[in-house]
Amino acid sequence: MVQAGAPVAGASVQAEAQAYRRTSELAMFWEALRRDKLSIASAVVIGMVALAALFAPWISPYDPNFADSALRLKPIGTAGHILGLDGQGRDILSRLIWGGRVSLATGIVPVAIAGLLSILLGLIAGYLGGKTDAVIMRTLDVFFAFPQVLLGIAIAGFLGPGMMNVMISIGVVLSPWITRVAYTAVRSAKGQQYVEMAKACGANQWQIMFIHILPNCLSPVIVYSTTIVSVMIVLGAGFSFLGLGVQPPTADWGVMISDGRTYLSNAPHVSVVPGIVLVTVSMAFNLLGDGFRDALDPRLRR
Amino acid sequence: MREMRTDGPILEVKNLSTYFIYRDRTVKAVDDVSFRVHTGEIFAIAGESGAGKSVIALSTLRLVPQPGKIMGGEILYWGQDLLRMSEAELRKIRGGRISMIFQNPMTSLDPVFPIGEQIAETVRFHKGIEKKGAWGRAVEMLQLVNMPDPERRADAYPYELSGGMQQRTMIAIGLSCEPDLIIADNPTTALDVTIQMQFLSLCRQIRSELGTAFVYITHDLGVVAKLCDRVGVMYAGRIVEEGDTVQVLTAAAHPYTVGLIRAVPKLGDRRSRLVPIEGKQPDLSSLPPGCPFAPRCPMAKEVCRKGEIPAKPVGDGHYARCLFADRVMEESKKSYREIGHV
Repeated sequence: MVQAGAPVAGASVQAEAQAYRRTSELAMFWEALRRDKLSIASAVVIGMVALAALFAPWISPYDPNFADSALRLKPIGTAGHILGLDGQGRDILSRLIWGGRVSLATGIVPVAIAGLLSILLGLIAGYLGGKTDAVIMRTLDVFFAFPQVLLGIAIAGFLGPGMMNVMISIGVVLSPWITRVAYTAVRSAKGQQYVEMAKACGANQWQIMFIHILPNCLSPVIVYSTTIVSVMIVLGAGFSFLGLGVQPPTADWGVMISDGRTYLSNAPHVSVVPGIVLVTVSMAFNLLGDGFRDALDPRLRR
Repeated sequence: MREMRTDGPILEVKNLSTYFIYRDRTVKAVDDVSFRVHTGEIFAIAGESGAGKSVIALSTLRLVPQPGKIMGGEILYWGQDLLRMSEAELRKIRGGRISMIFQNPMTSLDPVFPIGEQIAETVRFHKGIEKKGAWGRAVEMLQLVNMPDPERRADAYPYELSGGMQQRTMIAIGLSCEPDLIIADNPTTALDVTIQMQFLSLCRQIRSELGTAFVYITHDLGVVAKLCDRVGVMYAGRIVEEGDTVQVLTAAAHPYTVGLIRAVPKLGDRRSRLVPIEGKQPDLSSLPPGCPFAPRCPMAKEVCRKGEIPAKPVGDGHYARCLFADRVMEESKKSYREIGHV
């Protein structure tokens, strides 16, 4: 009879020890993420900004809308106003902290909504194929025919001004894009042999879709979604600029950047400071997205 | 263990035809194929690549991918026609009573789940036991297929295992619901010879301990000789010869079988040259009339190119689709006596 087989040829003792580790999926994910220094740094940045936004009423040094016209455009380092003051004499740090509430929400919420919707649509269209595929994907093609921003403005304009409506319209605008990414990933996973294997083991189509295809398609969707969070923060600002998003004087990073453009030559800090914050947070989201992908995929997280 | 039936064939394929229909042509991948498999029997389907072996395997569980279509015939599992069953009924059979082992274990296992979970999943599909029990069953199955250190290996991801271990995982999945038939499609092609030998003895062990029948698809006549009770030799979508393995390999009655046997290298024999079969398989979308092997056959006559060649009995349960089967058989017997192989 067959003897117990030899251990994996060539595998080091250490690799074997790792292969045997019995831990939950979540613990392994965390373990892999923890070793990725860039991801941790990104998570810390996002976490700090989020906490600051959450506790804005307590930590903000001034009322973000209080204007002291005597101190207009005072530079970084002004006594009592570390990051300076804007064109109306409002404290930039306070406005950044309060603006984080709006900007993070317009960045994350629509992407999260669109992401979930897109995965579902992509999964159904990509896996079921045929008529379902045609109806879903061709309907989404209609959205591609409009310029995104214009479409977003049209939807937001239709729904009326306000944060919630901006988020809904951004979510709608985004869905076709993320759906395409999800769809492509689903199509390629569908042709894999493990899907055939699952069928041969008696899985029905929902089990195949949600147990086998979904986890194999998450990586590209997560990475793509995190890269557009930053674009959405800027787009949300554009909406506010057009009077469709948050109403002045509510702070928003994008609005702050655009407000500062008139003073770019004599007081650049009014635009540059929120600009740096926006870039930093965007980068953090991108890097964290990459980290998530690596940590979620068992093949990448050794 | 499920009560084992012993009456009648476990699987009877009758006149199965599976075509791939493209806009401009129809590829007859499987054409009028019939065979039977009995309980505890290992039936081989042998032949070169593209002969339609895998399509038979896929047709059995109605898993033929688009644009393939089963055109006709019957696939009787304990007398029940799988081709006339509803999807839901068929799902209970897939993996539960008939399981399949695929060619490439690396790509057939889902890369994002530990192997134990993949075995447990199949168990849950069919037996409706809760997670913990299914996991226990998974470990038990890994033990059965001689996986070293099964408890901890169950937590390993497919990429962490060697090819041999992956293939054992596939068998563990296949066996997890105590099927009475396993269809193994080229299961050892991805494995090196020593692991292949372990695999073959594992199959034998399963057959003798559990009474499981196998349809074993391979292009390796060495494997057929070592493992299988009976063999069907396929050429261009048809079974051209069928019979007891020893009979077929020592007294081949179809020139194609003879050609296949001559093309197998024998260890330690440097004198006799390998004889390749001249030419290549005909295009399955435009088969010549008559015997599909005629264009490559050294003894083909004019009659071979006209009309269907019927299966001709040449021995006990031994059939060949050749007009000159008796003559071919005489010669194979003679050359087997002289040089030890056909």
